[in-house]
Amino acid sequence: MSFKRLLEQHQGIALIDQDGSEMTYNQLCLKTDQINEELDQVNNNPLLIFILCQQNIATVLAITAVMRSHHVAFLIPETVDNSMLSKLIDIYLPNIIYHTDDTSQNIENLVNKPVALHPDLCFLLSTSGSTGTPKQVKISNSNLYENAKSIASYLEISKKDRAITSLPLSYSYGLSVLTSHLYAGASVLVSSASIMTRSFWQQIEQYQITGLTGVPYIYEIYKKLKLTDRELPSLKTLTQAGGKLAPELVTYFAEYAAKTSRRFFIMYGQTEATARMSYLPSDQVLKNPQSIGFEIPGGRFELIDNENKLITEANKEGELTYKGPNVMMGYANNRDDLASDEKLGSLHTGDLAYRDKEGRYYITGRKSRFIKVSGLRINLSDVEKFLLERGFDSACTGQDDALVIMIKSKDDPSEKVKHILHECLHIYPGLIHVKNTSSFPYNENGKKDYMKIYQQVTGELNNG
Amino acid sequence: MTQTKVNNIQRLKKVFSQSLSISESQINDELEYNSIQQWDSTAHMALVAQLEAEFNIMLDIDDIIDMSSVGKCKEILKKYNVEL
Repeated sequence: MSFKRLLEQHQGIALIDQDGSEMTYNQLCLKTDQINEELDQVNNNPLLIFILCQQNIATVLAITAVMRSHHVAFLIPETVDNSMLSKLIDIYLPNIIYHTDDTSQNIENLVNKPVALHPDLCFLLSTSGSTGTPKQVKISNSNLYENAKSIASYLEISKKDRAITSLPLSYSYGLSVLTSHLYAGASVLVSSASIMTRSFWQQIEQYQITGLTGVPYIYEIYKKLKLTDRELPSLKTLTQAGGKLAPELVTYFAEYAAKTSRRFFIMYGQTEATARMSYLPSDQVLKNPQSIGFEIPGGRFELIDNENKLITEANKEGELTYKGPNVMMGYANNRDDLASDEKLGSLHTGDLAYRDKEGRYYITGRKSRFIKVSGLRINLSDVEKFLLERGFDSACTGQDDALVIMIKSKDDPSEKVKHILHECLHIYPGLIHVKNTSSFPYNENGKKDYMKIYQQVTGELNNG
Repeated sequence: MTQTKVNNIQRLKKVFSQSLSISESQINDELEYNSIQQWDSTAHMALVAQLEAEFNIMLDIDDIIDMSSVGKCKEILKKYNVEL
């Protein structure tokens, strides 16, 4: 089974535009067929397409068209920095750029040279949110289908459900909200409204949205906006992913869900697994607020110790690895990487975890150097590289929602550094801490001592 | 224009400039939420927190989601007896 055939079998409303106009599954298939006919006219070969994604119908149609075709799309947020986009164009040489503005002319022809694309390849998704490296995750048609199927199954998404596109469609979690609802024959309100606006909350009521989603900082906003005091009669399900939610917020929303007979799911995943690897069932969240739950249907976790041996006993920490039909085809760093499938089998998450006696998993730390800032996964080594290219010798560390940077420099470059990180990598300056130094602290192995660096920049101990 | 009003306008500009990380020259009544990359939802939360701290007020939810421009923000602050 594939999305191409499945969508043809669904009936009823698939998409709703924020102006209220509805599109049935039948119309969605016809519209995406039209787009694919246009794409096929570009040249006869499968195309590599850059879709500049916005939160609008044109973007959803372009994405769905690609899901139903042999073309491959690189999903790029429309807000991408121009220099970053030209760099990606130079590296990947896309055949066309698909614009999603409200114009009749969407297709911009770019490179005529055919590209060798693996027949199963469907999307290229950014792994680090915004770190701006050319490294992309290769997602196959079956990755996409299996991931959507699994999510639709454990969330019990039905035809009656209706989602809203509050997460970017170019982000694996946002994309999975779309695909899991299309899988189930449910409907999706395609909205560009920010959750900080009155129109967003009006849309929730007017279009009877049944599910809300969010990364941790969105849940802080939900709390600040007193989501729990709102009526929202249509709302049935809340899901959270994209990083660890503070335990007090987990409890806060779990209590709200229990009191109002709603469901609140904690979920865990990575773009490398298309989106999802585990979920904590709604009725277990209050008792286990720290857990990432159980594997999603079709997936399996394993814990590996330092000697690369399988950990079988409970409550012992190791690296979390994942096997499942949604594990990516591998990474791509350039156009030449698009022909292959690495058949990874299992995915090393880079997260350290343990399992309790009932089989629930708990993340205890990170093996590799990633933090999440405003829901964006930031590779600290990439930030160091990025800054070095711009003349700053830096040491980057931090914890979720605090990027901590030490710069080797005589004068204080804080404002400059915050500015370029904001401009190019879209990291909110209020979450960046910068200090200059004459020399970095090193540990006995001659490596930068990131713990000391964290302390010296922030004046605090890193408990993260 | 009273001295308090002049001061408050200056304080407001400073709050906007700091929480959105933009220069004070970019700030005018017509500047809208989401019209510039810097004024996104994260920055909006920071803005709300800084406004509350600077003017010693607690903003209602409805006012937070109605604060769609600098001009609108001024109108809202007036409701909280901030002279602007």
